Amino acid sequence: MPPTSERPPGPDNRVANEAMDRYADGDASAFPILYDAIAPRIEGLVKRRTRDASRIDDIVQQTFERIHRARGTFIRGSDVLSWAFKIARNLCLDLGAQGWRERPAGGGAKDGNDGKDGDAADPIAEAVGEVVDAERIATARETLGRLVRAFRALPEPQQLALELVRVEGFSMAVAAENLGVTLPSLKMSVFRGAAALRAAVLEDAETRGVRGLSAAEKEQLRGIT
Amino acid sequence: MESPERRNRILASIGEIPAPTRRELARRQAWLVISGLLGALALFWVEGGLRATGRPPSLVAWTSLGTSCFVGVGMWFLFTRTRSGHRRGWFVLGVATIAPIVAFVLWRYGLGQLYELASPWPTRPGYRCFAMSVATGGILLFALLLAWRRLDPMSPMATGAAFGAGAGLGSALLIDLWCPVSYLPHLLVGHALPIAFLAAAGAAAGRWMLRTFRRG
Repeated sequence: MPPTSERPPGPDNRVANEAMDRYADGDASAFPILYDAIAPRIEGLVKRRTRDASRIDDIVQQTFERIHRARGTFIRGSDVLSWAFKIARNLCLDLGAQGWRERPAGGGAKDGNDGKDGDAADPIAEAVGEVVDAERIATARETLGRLVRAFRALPEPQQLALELVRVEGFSMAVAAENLGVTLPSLKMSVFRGAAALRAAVLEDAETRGVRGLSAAEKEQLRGIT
Repeated sequence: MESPERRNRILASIGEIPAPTRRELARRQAWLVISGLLGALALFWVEGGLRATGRPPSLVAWTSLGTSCFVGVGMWFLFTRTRSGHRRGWFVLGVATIAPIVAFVLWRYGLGQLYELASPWPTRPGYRCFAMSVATGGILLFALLLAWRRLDPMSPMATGAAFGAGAGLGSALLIDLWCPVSYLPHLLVGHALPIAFLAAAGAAAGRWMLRTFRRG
């Protein structure tokens, strides 16, 4: 899989944006199309950001209700997913459900886990999915666990920047607008976050005395971070 | 995983919540904003309207022209949104507010010096201009907040602040036609401070008036 920052705009975004445009104009039949196009990604975001699994459905539902209420303000041709992510993130904060450092709802595992949890590492999970050798899968999972721990230790702005740009595949410009920061500031957050992540994982691997990363894994890590 | 039960529940709940379409909203917002503008203009005319009060017409024309340019640029950044539909970030909003204020004060003071009308005027500290600015800008701000009421699920405080600063800049344009004083402390208190005041008031009011609430 290519690094997510190079991911071309997915067809879902186009479908979602067109559906939202129609819905904002009053075409009710466009809402189910919009829902199907963006609901899984909103759910993924909410799972990463909330510690309370029972609230995920509620937050997803409220996100769509708010999109619905504000549909008349949707600017033709703008990015509905970026819009929806900001609403969902605000809801997580408003409802006090934020707290992925404690325990992400997605996997149920805690810090120090084996890396099976956390959709934050989706691209990594997909990347190592190609490896069929059991030992290498186990090693990759350890790497993933270190990466998730290191990610959670990053300052919030860097986490958000990496999440939008590297995990969700937003362009730098859209991510900056989404987070309400300037483009240079966003680029700096992504750069620093990725560098910190890379350094933390490599250092962790050495200090824990576990088997170091192979050259291929290091290359994989560079591609991701 | 996506659950059909949740999908059905959300689709059903959406049908029960009234939400204006673009066309309906545009009509409603146009009425409210035009009413706000007319209200601010009415107050301006009731208080005396355009008053040259010893200022040469060329000075009035130059100050208004300059102020219109600064206010126009500031309002464009404050009222428009980014290509992805988000309100601009706090940094940009701050620059879009402060830069026109600084430019306006320097322009007005500079022209006042040029026409030898910027001499100290201690009997006019600017409180009257402050009150007039807040009143005219407040009418416009209130209309803007009503027009966007419960419609900003993303950044209601930033939107409110942008509306407040924009309304303040608009009122500065009117007060510029009304007030002959170019004394620097007067300009700061009576013309610049109200913009900051309205921006702060807009942020506070926007947080409550513009955000969308959950149902029930």
